[in-house]
Amino acid sequence: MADSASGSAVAAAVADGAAAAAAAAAEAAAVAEEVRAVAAAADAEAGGPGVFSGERLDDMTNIDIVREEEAKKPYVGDKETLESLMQDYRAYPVFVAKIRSLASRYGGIRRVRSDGNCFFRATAFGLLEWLLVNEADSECQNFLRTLEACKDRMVGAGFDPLVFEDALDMLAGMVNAICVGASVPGQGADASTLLANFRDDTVSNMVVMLLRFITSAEIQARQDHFAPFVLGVADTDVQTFCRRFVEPMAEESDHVHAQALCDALRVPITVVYLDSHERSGVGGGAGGSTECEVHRFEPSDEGAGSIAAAAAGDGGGGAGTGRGRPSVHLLYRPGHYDISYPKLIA
Amino acid sequence: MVDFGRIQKELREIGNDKASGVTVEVVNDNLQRLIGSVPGPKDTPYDGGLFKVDIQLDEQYPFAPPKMRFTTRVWHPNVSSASGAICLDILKDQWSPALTLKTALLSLQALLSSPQPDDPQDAVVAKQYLSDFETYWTEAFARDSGDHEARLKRICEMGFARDEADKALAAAGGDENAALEALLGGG
Repeated sequence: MADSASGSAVAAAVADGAAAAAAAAAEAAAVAEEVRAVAAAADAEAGGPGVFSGERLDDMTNIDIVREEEAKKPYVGDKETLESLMQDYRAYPVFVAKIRSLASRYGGIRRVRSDGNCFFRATAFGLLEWLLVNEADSECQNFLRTLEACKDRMVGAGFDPLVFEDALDMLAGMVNAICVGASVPGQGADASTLLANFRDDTVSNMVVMLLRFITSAEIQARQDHFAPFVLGVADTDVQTFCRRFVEPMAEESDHVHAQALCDALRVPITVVYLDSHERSGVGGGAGGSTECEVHRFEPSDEGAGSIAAAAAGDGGGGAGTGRGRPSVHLLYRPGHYDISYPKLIA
Repeated sequence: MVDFGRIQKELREIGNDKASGVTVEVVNDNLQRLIGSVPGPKDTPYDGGLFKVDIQLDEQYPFAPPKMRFTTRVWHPNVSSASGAICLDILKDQWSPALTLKTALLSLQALLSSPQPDDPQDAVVAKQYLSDFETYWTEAFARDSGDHEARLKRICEMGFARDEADKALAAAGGDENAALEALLGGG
């Protein structure tokens, strides 16, 4: 059981690597290395009758097979310790060392289905879970105001309201339910309500869709700012990029999506990169000194969220580095995002 | 689960919008099986026709594209003359839930105006389109030979850039068909 589960998890990482290679030519070489490395780890593990053992690894370039396999998993999994992640990579020392070093700062992860929507789904769940756990009523209100600002941007970008208004109402309803709190039965939301919502086909995908539209609208509202970055990743203009790589479901995300969503929602997103690269100047794996690279997306003052906050009179600075502000933490493996949980620092 | 709320909103909007010309009707009270119609675009061989479209919405709509197929017979490089199957990117991997049944039907109308013979659904029609251009366009072009600007506009409507079309027309001495052939041959 353990073998087949971890085998397929690694297999998913392999395919994600393959998808990323197709999507981002510039990173193709690095990702290919990743695929080989992780495939080696999977080979070592798959000895038994695992789902993707042996010859089936040859087919792993076919994203459809993996997505089919992934479709059997929940959109958002249960919280797990880093130990379970370590088990996936136990045959691969660089990963083990990196995960060990992560353990000083991170207490756990929550896996998100690898269907091309993982960045949006992980960010949405991470943010709502933060609001729920921190019982931050004022932040709930801020977020509702931010959603209003995002609505204006979507209208400004030419979205037909009928494509987003149901999703917007639904997300606002979820935030309101969090604000009401679990103590009011039938109205308030608790952790299990949130999880059930994100595991529901329609609800979960409507949230992903809405965040895609919000991201697209943010990019289009600040074309001059985003155009050079868009040109860098897709060699196309902003409108085409949004239409082809942001709005369609299952299109994978990169740093342009992440920055735009962070700006729109006014929520910093911290991404820890777990890959096979050993950073220069740092010792090899055995000593546990291999560190993961970390990238922190900070909201711009120009984003919809910051503008909404400024209008509401709460300063609008947007950096939100204090412990009292919502933030989202993600674990990135080539081609895939999961949710990660930082340890509370006393 | 099917998002009936969204489908109903879309049907209301299309019903209220007489200007676009496209329509959608419900078949047997089943919101997942619809019949669309697209008027043939002006100044094309399809002008004056009303083209019916069979629309099927699966459980994943609007996250997955609507399935659309012409039930009226259409002679077009990107439509199967036998089955009505349509080759159009937004009905496949370029679909996004930001699009609607209305925008999809309007895209079908645009496809009728600008065939993409290099990416054919029906090889026979595409071959005829590419090799026997004059016959294919006679009906549209014979009606109005037009001035330079009109010729330029028609070439642009087929998907060529304006400056490109301008150059080709100049090189062909204003002969629209020769210019088109040069553009297609060169492409």
